[in-house]
Amino acid sequence: MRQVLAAVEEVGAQPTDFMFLLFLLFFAIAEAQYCYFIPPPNWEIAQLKNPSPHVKIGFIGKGSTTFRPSINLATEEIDVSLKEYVKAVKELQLADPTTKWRDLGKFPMEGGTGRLTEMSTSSPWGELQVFQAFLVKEGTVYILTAAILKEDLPKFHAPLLSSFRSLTFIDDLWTPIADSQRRSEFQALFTSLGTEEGKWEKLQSCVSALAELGPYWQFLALQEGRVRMTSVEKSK
Amino acid sequence: MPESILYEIRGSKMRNILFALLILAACIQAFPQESREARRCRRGQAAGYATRDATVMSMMGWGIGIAIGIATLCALIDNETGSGSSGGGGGTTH
Repeated sequence: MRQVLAAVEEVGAQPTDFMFLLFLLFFAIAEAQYCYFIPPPNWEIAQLKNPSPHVKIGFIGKGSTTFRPSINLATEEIDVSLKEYVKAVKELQLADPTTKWRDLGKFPMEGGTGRLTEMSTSSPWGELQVFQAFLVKEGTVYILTAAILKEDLPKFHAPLLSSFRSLTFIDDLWTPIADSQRRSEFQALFTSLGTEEGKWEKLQSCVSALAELGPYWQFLALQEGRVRMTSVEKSK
Repeated sequence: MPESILYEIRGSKMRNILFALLILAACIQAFPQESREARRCRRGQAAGYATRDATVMSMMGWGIGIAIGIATLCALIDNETGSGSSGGGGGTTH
């Protein structure tokens, strides 16, 4: 550390600047973590006019009626344990006397052990089931919520639970790419965004070829790619 | 001074001190309790909104398929970055 600080002083920077840069780097690394999940196959990205700021993204499938099964990801910063949070949710959901709520217990997810709950309520389409999977990581609760008609449950139960289980955290967007060659290609392309013309189009085709990672990962990859490209172009 | 009066004075002083301590403890307890209650009310908010949004999506939402092309996604992203909206892609953890 002393040698590094000495080297920094040699190039004319103050050690405090270096420490500040380290501090920024730490936060940049700490922030560079993504949460994603894989929705059931062939579900579409939901468009909603006024989504809550807590809800990050939603997907809808095709049900037996005009009521389409849906799944969304929401987050909330918390200062309590998962158990206490679920208790608060129970109180909130049971405020409606027509609602039935059940804690289904621990639920293993790729990002850690969460908790699964079930809620049933009536709707003009019939009895409605709402499943919620909660996972707490570093002061934030990640909530996957699925709404489905009871009559559609046998068809969608397994794919929805599998989707819930897929919730995970990654440090870099390329981490979940299984093939090492494709992973390094994607990494090289992503880190070179904004430096040359045509990289954005290349990223689009690269992302569309990685369909196995699901539409939410694809969305994140394009969104982060766009942000990176804009910031690199601005810094020129 | 007779011993009984001395005890009475000590007793009344003690009572005053205890009374003051009691009030102090009540004040200390009351404020955090209030904020704890407020925080507790706020907790679970995301779960409530997620439930509402899931139901609304199912009832009235319309979707964009990946099959129609990645271009739609790009258009969505452009719209989002253009409007500075917070929804839709905040997958980064905080």
